[in-house]
Amino acid sequence: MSAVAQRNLIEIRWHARAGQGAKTAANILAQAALREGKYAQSFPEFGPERRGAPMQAFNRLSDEPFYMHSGITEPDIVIVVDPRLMETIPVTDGLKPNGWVIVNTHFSPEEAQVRWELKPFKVATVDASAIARETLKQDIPNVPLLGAFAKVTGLVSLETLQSDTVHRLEKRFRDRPQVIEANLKALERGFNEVSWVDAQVFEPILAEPSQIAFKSWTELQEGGIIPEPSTSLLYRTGSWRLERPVFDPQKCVQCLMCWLVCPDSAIVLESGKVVGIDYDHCKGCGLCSLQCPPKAKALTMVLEAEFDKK
Amino acid sequence: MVEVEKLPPKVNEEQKRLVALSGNEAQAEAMRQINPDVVAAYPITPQTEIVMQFAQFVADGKVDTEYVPVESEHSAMSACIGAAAAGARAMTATSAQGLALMWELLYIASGMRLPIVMAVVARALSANLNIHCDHSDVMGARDSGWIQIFAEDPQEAYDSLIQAVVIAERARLPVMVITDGFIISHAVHPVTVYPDEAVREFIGEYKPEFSLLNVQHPITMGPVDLPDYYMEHKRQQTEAMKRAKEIILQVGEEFANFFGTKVYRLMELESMEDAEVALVSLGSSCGTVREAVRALRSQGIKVGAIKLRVFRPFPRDEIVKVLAGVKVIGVLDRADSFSTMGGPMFTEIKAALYDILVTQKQTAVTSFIPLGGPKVVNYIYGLGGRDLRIEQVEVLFHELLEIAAGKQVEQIWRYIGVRE
Ligand code: SF4
Ligand code: SF4
Repeated sequence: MSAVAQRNLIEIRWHARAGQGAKTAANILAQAALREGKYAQSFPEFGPERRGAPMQAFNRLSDEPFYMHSGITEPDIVIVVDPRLMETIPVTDGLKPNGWVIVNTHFSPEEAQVRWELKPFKVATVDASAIARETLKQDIPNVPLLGAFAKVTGLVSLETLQSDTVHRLEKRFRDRPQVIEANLKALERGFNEVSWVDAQVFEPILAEPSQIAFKSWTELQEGGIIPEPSTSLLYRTGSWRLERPVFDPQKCVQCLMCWLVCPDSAIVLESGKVVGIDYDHCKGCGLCSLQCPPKAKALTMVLEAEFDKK
Repeated sequence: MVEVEKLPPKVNEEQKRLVALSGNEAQAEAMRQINPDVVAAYPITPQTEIVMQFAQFVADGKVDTEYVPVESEHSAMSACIGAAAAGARAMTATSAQGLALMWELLYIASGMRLPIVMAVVARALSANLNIHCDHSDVMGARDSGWIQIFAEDPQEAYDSLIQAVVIAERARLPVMVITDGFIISHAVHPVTVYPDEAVREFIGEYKPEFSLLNVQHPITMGPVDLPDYYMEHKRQQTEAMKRAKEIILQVGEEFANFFGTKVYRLMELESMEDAEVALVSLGSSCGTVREAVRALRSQGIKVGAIKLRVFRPFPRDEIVKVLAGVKVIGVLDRADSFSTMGGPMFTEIKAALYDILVTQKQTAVTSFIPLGGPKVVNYIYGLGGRDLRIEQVEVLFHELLEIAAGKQVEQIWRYIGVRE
């Protein structure tokens, strides 16, 4: 543990997909902490900068001034905005023993602790997506998650988050006070509906060696040349998807428009005919479904969350 | 050490032609003999003749080159990058604003490790508008990952451009060969030209390891390179630059053996064996300085000069070895860095000397350094084509000698030949 880690400094890592509002949530949290007289930072770290791609955002909160600009590798709190990320990303990497994992899910904290192997951590769950859909009429789980964060950590108060929300939105939605109301409701429901459970095991967590074997500069092709084709197949970008195209072979007229427009070559052809979707590489952009002739309607976009429930 | 077998030169004296050529003509002639696959260029003074003449060679069917007349230097370098990525031998030429307009592409060429060769006819950068020589354009590109070779005269420009093709392809780095605008580009000098076949034999056939046009073996070049890999590729690039030094020396030896010329190295020394003071310079001024050295030596005054031929990679250890025993060094910079601490070559040479002091106990080179090291002063001269005269150089040598004799250095760096 570094000298810094012993200071009174709380480090938070958000796991989300680009477009889910994690960066905004981290900003709101920093803002609220500042208003309460704390010192705070918020910063994002993007990957491929595409909607749906996994991304991280970070917060540091402290009662004392601090100055580092380095990344956060040993957080105290991890917030998982999209639980499907846990299938591909080790969200608890470096998380301190007995640290918090706050997850947007309909599972109970006990279920989540078992399902995602979170026993060494305190786990809080809240169905933030459902709350967002009911209050904000869209799946933006960041607002209810902030409410849940305030409740379980006590690091900011619900009142500050609420007054900040009003302050932030009042100009833009002057003519639509119901939007502000909905945001306040989402915050409050997140605060009230979160439940949590203590850590079940108290053993030091041994850092697992990194999964990916990065090559040294002496082993790489000079100039960054990728000397063989189709290497993007190795990257299972299917997890970026928020919506999934569902193919109905009965309705398909085999016009191949979907195959033509798919930017990720994810429409599977056999003997020149569409037979399905390569979900390992489909990013859910919806182009295929848009281009499918209205009379055929053989491709429908369905929320991934629907499949998780089943 | 470079080891090359000593054999009589392949090209004998009868096969060579002595002709009168300007710097630009000499470079165009070299390009004709090189017969690159692709040339993409845009004319700009004082480089225009290179492009004009080469375009004529293309029109007359004297080369097999695909000539791409582009609408700007940005496109010229872009086309060269595309051609080189496709596996072609690609060349271009430019000056001043043209080089500046290529800026982002220079880094792409070197980052993708493409062996593009470019003749740069050095010219002052605007503003104010000036078409004459200085090195502000070239120095702007000094950290772009290109090998930079300065030619003193048309002969060196011709020889160096031919060598550059081999250097670039072996080092997998782009190379610029630099001549001084007007002073060399438009001045006619005697140039020994070699037979076409000999030049083509020397450079050989280019067999790139990768080609974007090879549909049997599709590859990706210039992909996105995020924090997890970008730095490794830069580390490779800097290693390639380090290796390039050996390659330049090797090609210089091979060239001498093949064509029976002098051996081109990283620098050339004039009376440095027992010199008490020395001037370091680049390009055409090196000849003027050499004349001053010879004049003073004839009076028994122990002065010397270093002509730096290769500025990138910077021959740090080699130059320190030569300068270590000198009492006072004057660095002639034909560009200001506006750092308020002198010109670009001045800071490089001081840094090189300082490095050796820091690592004093560890290297053999350091035994050459007297305690405290030599004193180094800087003269910024010749901006926008202002002449540098032998008498001026002699005055500088006398100033260096006075400092060597104990005179206090009043100004570490200053402009010379300027109306104060
Ligand atoms: S949604 Fe359709 S078009 Fe978009 S990536 Fe998936 S299959 Fe391809
Ligand atoms: S666009 Fe629709 S109808 Fe046409 S091939 Fe694709 S799924 Fe079938």
